[in-house]
Amino acid sequence: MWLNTVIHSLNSVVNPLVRIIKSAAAGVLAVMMFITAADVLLRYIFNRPLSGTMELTEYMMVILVAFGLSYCAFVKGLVSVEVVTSRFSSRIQAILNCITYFFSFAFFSVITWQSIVYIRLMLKSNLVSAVLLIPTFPFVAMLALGSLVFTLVLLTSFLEYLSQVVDK
Amino acid sequence: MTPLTVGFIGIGILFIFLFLGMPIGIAMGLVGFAGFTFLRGLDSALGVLTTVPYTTFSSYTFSVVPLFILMGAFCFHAGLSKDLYNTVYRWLGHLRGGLALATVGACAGFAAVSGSSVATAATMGTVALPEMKRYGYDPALATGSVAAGGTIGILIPPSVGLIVYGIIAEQSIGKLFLAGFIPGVLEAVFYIITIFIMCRINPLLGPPGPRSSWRERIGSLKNTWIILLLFFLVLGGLYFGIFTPTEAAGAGAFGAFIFALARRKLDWRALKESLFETLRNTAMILIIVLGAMILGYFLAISRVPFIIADTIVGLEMNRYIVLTFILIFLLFLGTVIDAPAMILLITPIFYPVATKLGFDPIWFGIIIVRMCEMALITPPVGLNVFVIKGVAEDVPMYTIFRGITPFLMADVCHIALLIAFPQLSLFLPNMM
Repeated sequence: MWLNTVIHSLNSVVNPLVRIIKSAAAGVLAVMMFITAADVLLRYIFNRPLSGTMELTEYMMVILVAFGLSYCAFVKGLVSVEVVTSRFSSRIQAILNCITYFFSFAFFSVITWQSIVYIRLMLKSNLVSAVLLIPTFPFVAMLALGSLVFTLVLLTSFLEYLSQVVDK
Repeated sequence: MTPLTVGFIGIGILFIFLFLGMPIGIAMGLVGFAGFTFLRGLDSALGVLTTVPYTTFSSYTFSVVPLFILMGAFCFHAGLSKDLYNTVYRWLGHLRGGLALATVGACAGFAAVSGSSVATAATMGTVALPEMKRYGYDPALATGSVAAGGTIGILIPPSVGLIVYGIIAEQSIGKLFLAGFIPGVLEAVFYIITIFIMCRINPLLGPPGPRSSWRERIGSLKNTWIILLLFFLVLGGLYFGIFTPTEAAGAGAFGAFIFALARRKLDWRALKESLFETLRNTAMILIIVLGAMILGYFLAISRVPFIIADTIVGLEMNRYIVLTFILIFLLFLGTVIDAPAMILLITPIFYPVATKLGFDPIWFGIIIVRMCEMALITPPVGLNVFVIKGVAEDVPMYTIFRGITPFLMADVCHIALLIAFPQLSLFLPNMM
């Protein structure tokens, strides 16, 4: 019973978070398209390229992917091999999912932790982009944030499968 | 334990994780991390996890992925799949099997703006299957032609499969795209010949539809110019070296966006859907890329790929026999794993073998992607078949597989042709 309470309160935190960052990522994607197209048009028609599009694209990609991950996991969009597991009973499937999602959660906890370590490194080294001199650390922080939400989605999935195992 | 043993055990554990249903990218990353820890200690392994996610996600090269997916999504929402089908149908509908021919033709056309086989099959399935049912087509031929035609999506550029191969094998994506063009068109021709022969033998399979007037035919072309424009913008830009792939994708996505807007097909909801769908697919692919990168570090220090390559080369077998074994392996694996994931999984292992045997890296990429396509429709699990099953619920699985069999035979001939004549793939990129 307590498990369901935990899942419920986790969801009430995670769901709005996923909604916010996925909208942010969608906005970034649209901007990325416009900037790339503008760069191409300006360069080939007016011979005036936008400077720094490449590094902007790189920064935008970090936000896009890091924020997209949790949304992808949230709508169960992560690719896995189902041909073997789909033959098992739903209880065995729940047990297997429980195991694999626990490992996934543990692995991404480490990645989140290391991304936070990386923010500190970037802050210390004062790394900035080559042309526009934009600091790198905020984008590493975005990665850490995206990775954190993704980890929470994985944790929620793990707990949901766990409750399925326990309930039966 | 030698690094080599650890490497092989790692690969074994990876497959166990995969078949237990773990998300592919995470399984690859986890095994890579664990193996690296075992061989080089925890500190070095943590070091990998500090930098690799950021460097992978912030790669300029990968930005081509979301932009091309977005271009396909806008084209889809602009209703292009329906228009394309309609156009080819006006021109070919009066022939025997004309609707099936139209399906393959429209699939090839849609492939020119979409990089995914499954998306192409799903899109065309919803458009073409009801029509074929209406005209009394044999359900096996109807579903088979959609499932097979859909696979053309990842050979004709833009292609997500070729992009991920290019990234892992460090080959030019522009060259790979150009290399995929002729084989992709040939594939459509092979399918068209297959349908033609089948309907010659048994005319009941695909009764001819009504003949369209020339006026209707010419009129139907007006909606499809955008495909040609986008395609030549992308491919021409790459061919003449005007664009980087990312620029081509960005310009293409923008063109498709304006087109969808101009047709009043892109309201707020469709725009949001296009963006979210792209976001999801990009994350789906890039988490596997991340896993492949981490796994790649581990495999490199375990030396497994090099040892496999050396051993196979040391056998002194004819290189085409080795290639055949690789392809059969791919076919089995590809029936259970989606194309981009499989390419990311096997390229690090087989790419060194192929180059040591003296195969051209660009050509090898085309063959690998082509094999993934075939795997998508190979029984018992071919992914596209399930997609079609989702669209045509009333058709039994067995019937779909029966319908696919002739196309599988066409696939075998087509792949043999591509292997026998590498120029078919290499002609365009070599002209660059």
